[in-house]
Amino acid sequence: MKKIFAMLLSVLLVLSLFAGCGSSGDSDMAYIKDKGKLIVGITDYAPMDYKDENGEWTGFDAEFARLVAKELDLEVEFFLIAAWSKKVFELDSKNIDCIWNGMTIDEELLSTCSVSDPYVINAQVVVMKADAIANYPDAASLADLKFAAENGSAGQKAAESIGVKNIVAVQDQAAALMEVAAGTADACVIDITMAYAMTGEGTSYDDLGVGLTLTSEEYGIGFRKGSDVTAKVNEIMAKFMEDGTLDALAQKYNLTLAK
Amino acid sequence: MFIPVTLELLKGFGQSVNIFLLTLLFALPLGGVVAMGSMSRFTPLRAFTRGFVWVIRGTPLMLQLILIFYGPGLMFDLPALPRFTAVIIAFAINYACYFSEIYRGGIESIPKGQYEACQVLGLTKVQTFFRVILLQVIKRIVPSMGNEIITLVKDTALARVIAVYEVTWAGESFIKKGLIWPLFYTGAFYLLFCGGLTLLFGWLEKKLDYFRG
Amino acid sequence: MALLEVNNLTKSFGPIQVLRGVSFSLSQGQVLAIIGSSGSGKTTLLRCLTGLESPDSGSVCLSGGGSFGLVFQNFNLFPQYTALENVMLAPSLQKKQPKEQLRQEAMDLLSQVGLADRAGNYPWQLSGGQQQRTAIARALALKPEVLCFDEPTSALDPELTGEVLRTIKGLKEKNHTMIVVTHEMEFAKSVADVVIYMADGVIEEMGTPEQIFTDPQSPRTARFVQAAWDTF
Repeated sequence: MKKIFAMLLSVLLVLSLFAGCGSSGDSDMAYIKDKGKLIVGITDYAPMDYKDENGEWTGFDAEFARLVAKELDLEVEFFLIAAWSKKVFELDSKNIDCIWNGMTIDEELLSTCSVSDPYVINAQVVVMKADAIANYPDAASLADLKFAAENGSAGQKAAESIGVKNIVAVQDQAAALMEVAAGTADACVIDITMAYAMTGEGTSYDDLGVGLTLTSEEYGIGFRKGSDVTAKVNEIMAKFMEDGTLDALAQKYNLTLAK
Repeated sequence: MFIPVTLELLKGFGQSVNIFLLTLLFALPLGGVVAMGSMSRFTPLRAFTRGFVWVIRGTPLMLQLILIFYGPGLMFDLPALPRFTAVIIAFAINYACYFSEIYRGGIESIPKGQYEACQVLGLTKVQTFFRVILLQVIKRIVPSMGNEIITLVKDTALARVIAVYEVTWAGESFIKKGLIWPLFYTGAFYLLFCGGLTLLFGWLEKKLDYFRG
Repeated sequence: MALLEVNNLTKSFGPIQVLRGVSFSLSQGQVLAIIGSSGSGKTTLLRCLTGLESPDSGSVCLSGGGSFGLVFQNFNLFPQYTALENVMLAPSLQKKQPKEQLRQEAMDLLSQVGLADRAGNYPWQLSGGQQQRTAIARALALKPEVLCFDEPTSALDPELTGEVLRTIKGLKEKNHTMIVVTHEMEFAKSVADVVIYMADGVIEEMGTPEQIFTDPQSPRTARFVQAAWDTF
């Protein structure tokens, strides 16, 4: 009886050892390589991931993901995450291998996933007359100005979040800039990419400048906690940053890379 | 969801109607002034007026809106007009020019004999215009005015270019909140309003049907 | 004494001299018919008399400061007014008499031209002859000293000219002084007291109907009259 018990115990031990090898020893990278395809979790979120006129997924992240997969010699399969709040669950249950969807890196994410290096930054910045920027060193000093922002945009929310009362919601970010240039608004809040592209010397708005950054976020790719894929993708990403592959993509989709 | 959206759109539509009514209020008489200028026998005035009408009719109303509102600040560092005022000024000038051409066409289509009959009957110029010519002109221009005025209803949507919030703006704002159907729903407001105008102009045409000429 | 004295009227349109010195006079109650081919200046003469054109030189004197009335070839009724309103419009704008009296006078005029039962009709509801008779009543409403007609039957179908010519004849019986520019030779002959034949902006010949139509002095008049009778 004792013998049988010992045997059973040893079998269990061996089995558990095998199991242990299966989860930690046999790496996530190996698991993915084994099935030959990378399942990328996305949502419909232009310009990061969206469907083109042929119904194919495209966008900055979709193209980026295909490039990375190619480097890894993997097929790509896109998986539409139905509920964003359950994204990590989808990851852990192996329905997907990564979340690649313009995802903002924050504390919560870092505690539940293995997150890549940031690859794109998105910031909402204040644009105003260049010679007035020095007078508005902090958010509080901006509160009484007349602002313009694209209707329903992140810029509008950013302006609201610092307590600006007088916000004119205009049709698009270009109109917001026009408001400032014409003096019909004191300042506007727009994307950092656009702010730098359209103001300063050599642009139509050479008397405008970029002031305070109200909100700033960095996008990262999420992998399973403890995954060894993260380091590998970081490596490839660094290479793409280096050789200009990502710069071309950023230009195409009007984004600012995190460098 | 339907009721709050309707209420929100109605609020926007109120502004659309404001733009519509105020534009008519100013553009209808201003069109007469412009028409007089473009029919003037004083050549410089006539040339100037016709040139002005050409520019206004030859450029998009949206551009005129942007110019009137942003122009002073962009070009001369002057303070801007209030948004709504800028809308009404741009719309009134634009529509006055269109109306003036309709008026002119109507007035010039009245046979010379009508004026001569008035002259030999000793009517003054003012009497001639108001007692004899005007009603005939009105009868002739009702269809084209109806057309133009219905176009105005839909053009009010341009006001949102300088952030005057009318019904299309209200509809578009819902898209940012994830609702697409309110934008299409705004079509119903325009349709109903234009339907009313169509009936009104039909009635007016019928009302003037008692005479021919 | 002459009621109307016309002295040496001239009128040019650009380089074209349409009237080249026209003079004549007319007494109260006389009917003057002006004949001539188109382009001879007869319509322009009428327009100068009634003030629709101002002559370049010459004078028009109407004794007693009276006025001219004019009946147009194309009637020129006001389409938005009924026959009665057409007749009443000018006098009512002068505001010299109470409305009711004006109305009565206008009705009398319409009866005179045989349209009492058409007073409430709009021009489009009237025949050409009826429209022209309304126009005559309208011209009479201002009690003109001299009533002018510019080819009053030219725009009418042949079967409708009679009623208008009869109306004009009726006015002669009431001693109205009239100048009629016309193509109707028969009418000119039977109604006119004086006939003027115009050619090239001048009076070629002026005389009684008998003289002009049966014994013209000028060969040109003779040719015109002959041709006119032939086509008639």
